[in-house]
Amino acid sequence: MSAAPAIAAGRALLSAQGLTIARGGRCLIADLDLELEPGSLLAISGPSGCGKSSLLRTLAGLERPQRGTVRGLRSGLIATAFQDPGLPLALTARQAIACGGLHRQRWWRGWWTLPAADLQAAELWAERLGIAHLLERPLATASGGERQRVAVARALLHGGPVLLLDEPVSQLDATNAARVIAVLRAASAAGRAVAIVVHQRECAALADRELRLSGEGGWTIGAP
Amino acid sequence: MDDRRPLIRRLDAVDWSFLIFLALVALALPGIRGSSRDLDYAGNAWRFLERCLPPDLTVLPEVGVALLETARIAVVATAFAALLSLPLGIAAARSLAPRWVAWPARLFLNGVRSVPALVWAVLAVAIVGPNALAGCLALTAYSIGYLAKFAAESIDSADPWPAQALRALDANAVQAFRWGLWPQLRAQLMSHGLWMLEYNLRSAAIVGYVGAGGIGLLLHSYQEYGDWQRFSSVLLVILLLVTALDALGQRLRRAWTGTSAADP
Repeated sequence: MSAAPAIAAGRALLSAQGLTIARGGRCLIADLDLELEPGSLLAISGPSGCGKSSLLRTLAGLERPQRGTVRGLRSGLIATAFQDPGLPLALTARQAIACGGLHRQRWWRGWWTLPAADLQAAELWAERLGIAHLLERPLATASGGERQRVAVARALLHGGPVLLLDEPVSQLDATNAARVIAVLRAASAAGRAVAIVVHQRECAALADRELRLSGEGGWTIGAP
Repeated sequence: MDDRRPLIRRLDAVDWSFLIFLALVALALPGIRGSSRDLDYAGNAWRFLERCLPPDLTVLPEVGVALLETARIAVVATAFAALLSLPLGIAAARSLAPRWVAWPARLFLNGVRSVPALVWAVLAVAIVGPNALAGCLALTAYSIGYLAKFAAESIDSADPWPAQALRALDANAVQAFRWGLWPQLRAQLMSHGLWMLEYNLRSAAIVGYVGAGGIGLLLHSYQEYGDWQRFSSVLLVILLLVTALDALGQRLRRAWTGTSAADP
């Protein structure tokens, strides 16, 4: 069983240097330098199609950039939740959230059932994110916003010190969006580096820094 | 909107496939001929039916014993085939296995499927003799071809994203399969297994004709002696069995599709 990597204060957990991302022959982001430090909350914003999700996937090591490098990638470091949460709808929310802890198990364990500790921990995250009522229900019966929070809970249970979340509050009402942002703020206060793609200005305003993408290669980073 | 393209350009792949099928029917039909003798088909059928009716139900105890053997053959063959077909199905799935594994696996499964159950039975009888084991081996071999193909198709048509999302969370390939793909496949694979069991129950009756045990053996001996009333009682029992299994299958499938995630 491998523990989650230790968080070294002050040093970037993940950094991108000279990152250039292009899609369909169009340069979306050019020469981006970015550092995700422990205890930080970064909001990534910009118009639709400007490369926010592509940037997140590139930072997670799921897509290759046209140029540049992402440093610090290693197993157990990054926990992700994407716009399409990728949840098997036959699972209960408890099971889906507990899947976040699979990386701590040996490959042959967890075939019949998920580890009891993770199933228990799922309850904690579900309560914090307001989806405790879903725990024993199949996800097929959950709404889009509820599934989104299940995916966030799964990423939180993963325990990786870097959290990359693609529009985690896009389908939520104001109350639940605030609840999710509060949980993410708490995660960053506990030393995690959190990066979230957001559309709502009020969510971006709660971050420490905001990376604004123009969609034509340009970007600015600064206070939200 | 008014589509002014000529008819031939408006046809899609389904239309073309149907037209090709119609052309094949037109080509095949003239080749289907009966005996050149002038036979009274309807009269023959009626006389045969008269010889079969009423079914001789005194043979029911004997039929029951043979039916039990048939059911054993079908159940064991389906179980073995289901076990073996899962790894083979994974190997043949283009979305999971590398091309150099998937292609040989698919070729192997095509080969297995191209051999009819009756030919597998003849081979099995030649190897292990005329008994229930031969029937079991024949139907296992036959069923693997189908179940593994169905499994591969199910895997290929399942949404890969849940498994990929788990891989992005550092789950290994086995864990991603178990918790990302398996919940999508489980009910489908069970349904395929049930279909195969129904099929094997009917096939077990046929493979008995060549000595591979079960009710087919009885059917064959009644036919050999022209004992048509007993023959028809065996057919009646098979009909009842298949109908009962079909009804049970429908109930089970309904239960499976409505299954909660308690045991994904």
